[in-house]
This record gives sequence, structure tokens and C-alpha cells, in this order.
Amino acid sequence: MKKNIFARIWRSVFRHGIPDTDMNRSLVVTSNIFLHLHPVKVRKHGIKFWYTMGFGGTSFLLFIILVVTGALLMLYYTPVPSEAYRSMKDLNYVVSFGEFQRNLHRWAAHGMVITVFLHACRVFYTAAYKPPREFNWVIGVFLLLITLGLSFTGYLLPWDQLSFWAITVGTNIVGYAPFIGEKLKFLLLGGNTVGEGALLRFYVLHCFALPLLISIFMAIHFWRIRKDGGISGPPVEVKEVETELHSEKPAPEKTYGLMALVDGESFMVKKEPEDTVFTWPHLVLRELLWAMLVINILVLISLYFSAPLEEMANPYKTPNPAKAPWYFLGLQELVHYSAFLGGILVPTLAITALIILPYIDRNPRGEGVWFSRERQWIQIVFTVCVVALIVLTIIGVFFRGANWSFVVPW
Amino acid sequence: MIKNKSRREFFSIIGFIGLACGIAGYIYSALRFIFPNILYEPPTSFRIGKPEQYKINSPVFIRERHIFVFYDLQGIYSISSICTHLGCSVNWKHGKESFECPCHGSIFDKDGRVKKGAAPRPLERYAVELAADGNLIVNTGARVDPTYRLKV
Ligand code: HEM
Ligand code: FES
Repeated sequence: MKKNIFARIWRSVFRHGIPDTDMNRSLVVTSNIFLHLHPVKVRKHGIKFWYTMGFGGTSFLLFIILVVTGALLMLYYTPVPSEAYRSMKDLNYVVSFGEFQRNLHRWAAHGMVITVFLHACRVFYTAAYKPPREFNWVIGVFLLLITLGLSFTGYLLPWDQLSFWAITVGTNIVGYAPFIGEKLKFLLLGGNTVGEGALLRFYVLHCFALPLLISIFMAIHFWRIRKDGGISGPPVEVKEVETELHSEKPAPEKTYGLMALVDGESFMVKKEPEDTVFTWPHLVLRELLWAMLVINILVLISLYFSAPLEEMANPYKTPNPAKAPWYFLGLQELVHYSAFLGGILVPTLAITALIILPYIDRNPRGEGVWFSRERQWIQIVFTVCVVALIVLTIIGVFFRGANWSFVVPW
Repeated sequence: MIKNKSRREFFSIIGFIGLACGIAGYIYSALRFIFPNILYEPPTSFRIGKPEQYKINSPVFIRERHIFVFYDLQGIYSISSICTHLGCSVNWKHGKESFECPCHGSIFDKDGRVKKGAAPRPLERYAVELAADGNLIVNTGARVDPTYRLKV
């Protein structure tokens, strides 16, 4: 009787048996809302570590960590100028594990900027944005922008010297945008200066509006990966036998696929079924192991390195040099020559180029392999841009001292 | 029958127009909402003491107001300490008789004109007036040109 009730409860939650048969391995994925992000079977090529290097998945994992640690930080944080800095001090010195949670949040945020960037590079160098994935690349560009927006809005919240002046400079850059710049800046700050209005607005953006927005975009991003036929890869050889089998209108391999019912070919048509493995356990296990590794590294970093907290914001004294967060220092380096060039022109051109990239790159070859020799030109152009960004960032981080003069860091 | 149908069409068009107006109206209200009407910011006009407090050729920085007050042979004038590049607070360098911005290295001369760097405009100059009670009043709402001086 007792055993029976537990069995019944278990059964009410999980409808399938232990996933040791193909049937149950399919059910474990399709009957679970989270695992259902994945297809039941995946191409072997797509789960090779060296193909994706897990950058997209790691970005998602870091986002989850940011949501958890962020929600905890919110319990002690007060978004008004007189209180904000004090709450940071409380977190660092009074709240149990406060500094640890803060470090986790800070380093995961930096990590996410890096992994999202690397993920975009991976997608580029494996030509994974080729049809039918052009639109998912565009969604990705927005994810990159929202990620930067989240980092930037979070930067103001500690209300220390670093935050205050980074946001002063950042919002003034917005002011240089033609026509709407000044209005936009006023809107962002809720006034003319970085003050209580600005802090509250950045808080709402950081803790509510942007997380919601990025979640929506992520949902579309993941959904599209499924609808575009899973992770990209080199074209699969067509087997003659198969065309014979489905002589009239070929149906997809997956029996549950809706696409069998609609007109036109689905992405699975003519593809070799033997090329795939079950998501459970092959992919799920890999993801789990990778997640544990990433979490371990993040915890270690957070135990040994503390998130910076400088003096309380002083609107009358600019620290010298005053630097933006590191991922914007490449731009700040340009801004130092001209605010319009670095703050508006270059970013606008870069974002536009990224968005239209999959539509102007009409070369159909090279998909699914790293650094394909068949698309050298575009790879050279992209690499030059990426290297320029990295070099500018390194100069901004290490080679700029007081008054933004050139210094040597050793 | 035909009449009936067109009446139905008419009402559904009216309905959709109503819906569109409702949505547009709400979007307008939301957009207007996010522009504040009252700002709790410092006043643009304030007293900075009597002329006697200022000595010839030694500029004074009034930090709460983000201004420098200069007194030279032609009179008194005030210069904003907010860099016209991206809003950092400039520092006065005594020996060099110039303002230096710590953020991106813009340099301005004694009159606020750009000598070097990315700043697009000279530092703002604000009107200084003498009130009836003998106090100086700076009005940051009134921008004046670089030759402006209050004769004292
Ligand atoms: C918050 C940021 C992002 C998250 C969480 C995310 C997540 C993912 C995940 C989990 C995948 C599956 C494959 C993989 O792990 O590499 C993926 C694929 C993809 N992502 Fe992202 N991504 C993000 C940003 C971006 C950006 C910035 C771009 C490009 C500008 C992009 C473009 C793509 C494309 C085109 C695919 C399909 C690649 C393929 O099929 O091989 N994503 N993304
Ligand atoms: S803010 Fe002064 S030089 Fe940029």
C-alpha cells in the first residue's frame, strides 16, 4: 500500500518509464517542458564539443545564474542615491554570503558578455547563419545588444564613483545621436543629470524590463533553432534509397512532426536517420557536465576575486582616468577622438552590418565547418573588425592613464 | 440581406477603428508618461556671495554648482566645469592656466575655448549679475558669450 502511493505520485509527475528504451527516451524529452527545448534526436555533428563549444548554452546558463543571484541581491538593495551605496556596503560586510552572491552576479555578468560574443563569433566562423537560419542570427544580434544593455544598466546600481561617471559618459554619448539624442538622454535619465530619477529608471530597466525582453528573445531564439532543423552542420548526403521510399510527397523522419501535414519539404527530408543519436542521454549528459564545470569555475572565481566597489559617487569630482566598463572601452577609445564617431557612427554601422550580414552573404558554401576555405573573403573582413575591436579594447583597458594619455602598464 | 451584411460590415469597421484608437491612445499616454513634468534638480539661479570674496586672478571652484568663478581686470565671469564632450568634471591647472578633462583629455583655455581634444564646444559661460543686496547671482539658464564680464 505504502509503496503504491509513492509509485502513484511518481507516476502523476513523470508519465514515462525509466529512459532505457527508445520509446521512453523519446517520452522523457517530449513530456518535459524544459527538455522539450531539445528535439528527441540530434545530429551527432551538432553535439560535438568543438563544433559549438557550448557558447550559446553557456550564455543561457549564466543568464539563469544572473536571475537567481540578482533576485537575492534585490532583497537588500534600495534604488535611491542616499541608500544604494550603503546597501552595497551592507552586502559586502554585513549580509551573510552577501559578497559571495554579489561576486557571482558580477562575474557571471562579465562572463555572459564574453560568451555571447564568442557564440556570435562561432556562429559566424561556422557559417551557421546561412539559410534557413538568417533570421535567428538577427534575433541573436538583438540578444547581444540586450546583454550589453543589461550589463550597462547594472553598472550604475552600486552608485560608486565607477558607476556614476561611466553612466554620465554613457548617457552623454546617447545625447550625440542626431535629432532624437537629447530627448532620448532626458528620457533615460528621467531628467537632465544623473540623479535619483536616473537611478530608479536604470533599476527598473535592469531588474525588470530588460530581463523580460531578453527572455522573450531567448524563447524565440531557441524556438527558431528547433524550427530551422536543429544545430547547423555540413549538408547531409542524400541517399537514393530514401527518395524511392517516399516517392510522392516525402514526409519527415519524425513521426510526430507537424511538418508532415503541411505543404513543401521539411528540413529533415532526405536526411539520413542514422546520423542522429538520442538527446537523452547523449546531449543532456554533456550539458549537465558542462554546466557543472562552468559553475565550478564561476564559484572559484567568486571566492577569490571580489567585485570592485569604489568610493561613493561624487558628482563634483571625476576620477582620473574615468573609464567605462571594459566591454565599452574600445568605443571609449574612439570616443576620445570624436564622440559622434565612437558613440554613434561606428556602433550604428557595426550593428547594421551585423543585422544584414546573413542577407548580403549569398555564398551558399561553407556551412557547418569552422573556417571554411570557401568563404575566405568574408572571414578576413570579419576577423579584421574583431581584431580591431579587441586591440582598441586592450588599449583602453591597459594603455590609458590620467587624462586619457597613453601609458605603458609596466 | 445585403443591407444586413453591409450594416454588419459597417459596425465591425467602426469597432476596429475604435480598437485602434484605444490602443494608439494608450500608447500615447504611456509615451507621455515616461517624460517627467517636475524635476527635483538644483535651481538654475543661485547666489555665490559678494564680489569682495573673490581675488583677482585666482579662480574659485564652487563644486556643488559645477562652476568656476573668475575675477580678472575686466570683471567677474563664471564658467561651467562640465566638459562639453561627455560631461566629466574638468580641473583647473594653475600653472598652465587651462582646464583639463580627466575623461578623454580635452583641454580648454582660461576662457573655456577648446585647445585640444574631442570636446566640440567651449565650456558654457553663465551670466553673473549683482543683486540689490550686493550678492552675486549666477544664472545657469542664461548662456552668454565668452567676452561677457560683470564689471565691478
Ligand atoms: C543571450 C544571448 C544568446 C543565447 C543565450 C544564445 C543561445 C543559443 C544556443 C543555446 C544555441 C544552440 C547552439 C549553441 O549553443 O551554439 C544558439 C544557436 C544560434 N545562435 Fe545564439 N544565443 C545568444 C546570442 C546570439 C547572438 C549574439 C547571435 C549572433 C549574432 C546568435 C546567433 C545564433 C544562431 C544563428 C544560432 C544557430 C546556430 C547553428 O544552428 O549552428 N545567438 N544560440
Ligand atoms: S568628457 Fe571631457 S574629454 Fe570626454
